[in-house]
Amino acid sequence: MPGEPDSCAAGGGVPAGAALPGEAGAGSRPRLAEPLVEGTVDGVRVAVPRGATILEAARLCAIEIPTLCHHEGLPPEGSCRLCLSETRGSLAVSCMYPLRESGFAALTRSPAVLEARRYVLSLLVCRAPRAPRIRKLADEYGVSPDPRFMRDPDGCIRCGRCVRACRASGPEAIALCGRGFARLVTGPFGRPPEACVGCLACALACPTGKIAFSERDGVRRIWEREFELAPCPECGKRAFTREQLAFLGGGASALCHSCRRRLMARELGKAAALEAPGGPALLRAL
Amino acid sequence: MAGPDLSALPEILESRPADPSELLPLLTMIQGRWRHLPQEALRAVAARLSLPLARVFAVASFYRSLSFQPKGERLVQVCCGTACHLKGARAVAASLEKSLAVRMGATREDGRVTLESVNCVGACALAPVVMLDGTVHGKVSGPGAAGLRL
Amino acid sequence: MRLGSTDDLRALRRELAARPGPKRRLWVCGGPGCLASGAQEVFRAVEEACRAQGLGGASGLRADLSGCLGLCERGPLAEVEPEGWLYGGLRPEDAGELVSETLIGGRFVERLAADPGCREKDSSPFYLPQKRHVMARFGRARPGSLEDYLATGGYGALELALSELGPEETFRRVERSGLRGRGGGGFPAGRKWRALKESGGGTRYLIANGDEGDPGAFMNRALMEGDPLSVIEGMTLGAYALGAGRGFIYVRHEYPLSVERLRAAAAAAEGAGLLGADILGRGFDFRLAIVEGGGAFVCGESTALTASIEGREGQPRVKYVRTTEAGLWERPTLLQNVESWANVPQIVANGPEWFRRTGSEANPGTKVFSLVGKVRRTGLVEVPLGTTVGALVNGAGGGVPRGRSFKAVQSGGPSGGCLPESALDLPLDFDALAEAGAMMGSGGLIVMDDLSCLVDTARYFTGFLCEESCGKCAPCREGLPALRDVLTDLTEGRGRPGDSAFLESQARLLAATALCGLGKSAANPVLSTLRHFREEYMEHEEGYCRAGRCRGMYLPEVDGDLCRACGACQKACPASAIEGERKEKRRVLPERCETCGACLAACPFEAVKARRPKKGAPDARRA
Repeated sequence: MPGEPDSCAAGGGVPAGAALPGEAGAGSRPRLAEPLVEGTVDGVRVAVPRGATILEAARLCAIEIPTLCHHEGLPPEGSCRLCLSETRGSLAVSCMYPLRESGFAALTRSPAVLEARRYVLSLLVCRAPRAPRIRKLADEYGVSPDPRFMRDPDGCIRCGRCVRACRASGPEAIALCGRGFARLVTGPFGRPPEACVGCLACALACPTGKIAFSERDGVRRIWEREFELAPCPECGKRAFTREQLAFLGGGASALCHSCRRRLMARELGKAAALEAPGGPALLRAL
Repeated sequence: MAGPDLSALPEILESRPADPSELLPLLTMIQGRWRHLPQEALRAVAARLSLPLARVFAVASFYRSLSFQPKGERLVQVCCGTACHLKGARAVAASLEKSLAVRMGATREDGRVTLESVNCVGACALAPVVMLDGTVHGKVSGPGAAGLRL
Repeated sequence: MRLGSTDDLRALRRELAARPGPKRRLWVCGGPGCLASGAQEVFRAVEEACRAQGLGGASGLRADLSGCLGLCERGPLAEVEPEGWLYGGLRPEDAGELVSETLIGGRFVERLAADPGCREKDSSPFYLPQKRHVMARFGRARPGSLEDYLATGGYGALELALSELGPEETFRRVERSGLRGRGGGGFPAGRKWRALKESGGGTRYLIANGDEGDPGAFMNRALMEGDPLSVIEGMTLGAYALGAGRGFIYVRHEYPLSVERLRAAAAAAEGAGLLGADILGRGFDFRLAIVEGGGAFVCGESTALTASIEGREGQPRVKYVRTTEAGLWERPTLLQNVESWANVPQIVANGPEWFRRTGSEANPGTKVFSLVGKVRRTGLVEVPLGTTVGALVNGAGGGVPRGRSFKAVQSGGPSGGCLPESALDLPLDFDALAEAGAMMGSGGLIVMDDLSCLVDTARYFTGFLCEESCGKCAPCREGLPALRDVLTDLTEGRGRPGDSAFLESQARLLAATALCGLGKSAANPVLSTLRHFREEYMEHEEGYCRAGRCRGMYLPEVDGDLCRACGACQKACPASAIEGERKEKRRVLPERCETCGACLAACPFEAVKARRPKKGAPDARRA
């Protein structure tokens, strides 16, 4: 069947940060232009732009809802089920449930919510019993791993944040493959991902620290691959891999973060000075 | 081992529009032609549809009808639907394992036959059921299945 | 021939309906069940015999393959038109007799009767409670033949809609009919249709769900293969009423013949101007694609199905926006089961009042069920909604085979539930089944007898769902295998006190926290068996299986009062663990018994009982 012209995010092999079709919609960022809707979270009154999520409303109230698969910069997925809260008498995924009308009342600490979270944590802790974040949450909720169900404690909770990060800012080199309990993050054919550019987006997005990487002698190792780091033209510090720079294209520079900030500040300062009264003269005098 | 002869691949790829929604149809056609998904074919599909290879691999690894290991020339599928389960599919599977000399879910070393389970083929009234190369055989008995030699 | 207008269609339909049919016709059943028992070979032999006798053409005597005739268990079947006789258990060797005696001679061949004692199909108890609307063309029209479809009233609804009703009234007829979705929960079709109609402008899609994944169910397959055009006409009517330009029929990978038949039927309709561009010259386009699935149960779930059509893994999405607002490619989409679509032409043609005359107030119309498992007559039945479970199981099905007793009926596939004997009085409708802890699902009814172990059944379904879990959300991916492991322990003699209570709490939490509809209902097999058969779970905790199904968890014992010394158990025993001379009551030698259950199943008098194994006695050896 012929394609949908407006449907494919992927063009030319690199989906440039765009959400896949179907991943936008509910749970996408609220637009500030939306009218406000009012309601309560745990009894605290709050107003949010229509379409904001329970999670966002709760954060405005300084109410903490634990999350794992959620990441501010990535399309939401609602798959870890940890952020469940209660609304209209049933459980809802806080990171995606859109508040569309005034009068909402979300509960984030009701008995049903706490029981559900304990259940989810009891499952996840069997997968990643040593991950600090999971252990902390498990302790907080009084959950410990049941040895009867420790079948494959590989440290990964299959939240897919690494895959979404790679899709959003990298070449989509890794994917969640297979299905069911055996689902696994891997490169194609179960081998080190060929398309990987060593940008670390996956490792930095991982909530359990499962994706290991190291840097030594100007070489970065991740996903069983080695990447040479290009030196910063200002200070010589090595921050980006050559593959990453090539992937970004358009003469992306190897400036390290601090030099980039410093240079940017200098330029901004120049521009500000030029606009200030007496500025140009001051600059000349300097 | 030399890879399979993929000279027919371009024709298959070009038989469908270059659109991401054609991914599953293309993979199904490739599976049908080579009885598995050769790696080179997956790369060609990714290039044709302008999709990252990882996504093509993820889709290929998700669906049960697709496989990375070549299936045997003959395909014997034991239905494990509810009705078949109740009427002794397990015994049928056991006797087939014995008579075909291959484990459930595996392909015999000579590449002649693959034995696998399949979820309900929709012939429940004739349970237990075995599918041989896509043809359904009903009311198979354990001892009867033992007579099958391939 | 391409039809350019509704007048052309009317003229052709009249002409075909008036054309005299054959004098006598032998319909060899080409349904899924009969094909599995060799109907194709029988049909080939019959065709051969017809040729040998010089039949066909002007003789007015012919043989054709039909859609599913229903009584699959006695297949391969054949129905004789116009007499209505039903033959069964046919073999290619019977072809000569069928042709010379019946087709030419007009005589009934007693020994080939499908249901002994019943000549006419309609006199068999199997067909008595039935009312065939969706399956009306099975045995009246050749599957997928446009000519036969038109001759039997097909496309009358489209003609009426385009020439008289208009889109609004077509929509109103469906809305007022009270039709409920035939694929699972029974959501009112009218509400979905209205939602799509009122969705924003732009592209809209229609989808027919033919991903019949429930093990033990094959009614959608029979429908897609037996009357594909009714699904296609239904969708075309939907497209007209709701302004949708494109449609998809998503068919399960395991059903290649369904794909073939649907594609051929769609091509025929398109060639006649009934599908595709500028339908009947009215400037209305509806393009339809038949999409083959990849073998994943989860694709029956709406968001997973749309993902699969889009070319991605069939993974469900969190759904706070209805498919009718944002479905396929984020566009408004109406997704219905193929059986729901097949009901549409009849509703539009005959009106909502006609439709409501069948079934009950809240559950109008008929529903196709596949009746399988431990009943005497298995097959496909179509009955008015509200018919009792008992009328199907004991009426049409003839009850469990002699010598055994009814224990449970499982409805709704893996996401459904097992109901006890008291459920026989339950009306088969969406609400009653849900209330009893099962669900209608797509209509699979699986009967279990006293040799079926309900804990083992729960383990089977949970194991199935584990393999089919997409693995996206934690509860289904991690929690379901935990349930399965406990159930496996229970059925393999490693049960512990408290396992049942543990299962119950875990299953409830799984249902509450899973992401999609399948995950939420994945706990149903455990919850429904716990609800109705808790004592069996308690026995399994203690290492006893009363059904004699779980190995090493019982001891067969011959009840001397019931044993008639027939020796069937002894013959069936593969371990020579039963002793006794001719005419002597038999005894089981416990130390030899492998607890395979063969003796229990073999005894025609229910004299072999599964006793509780003695405490402290070594477990019977396992295979």
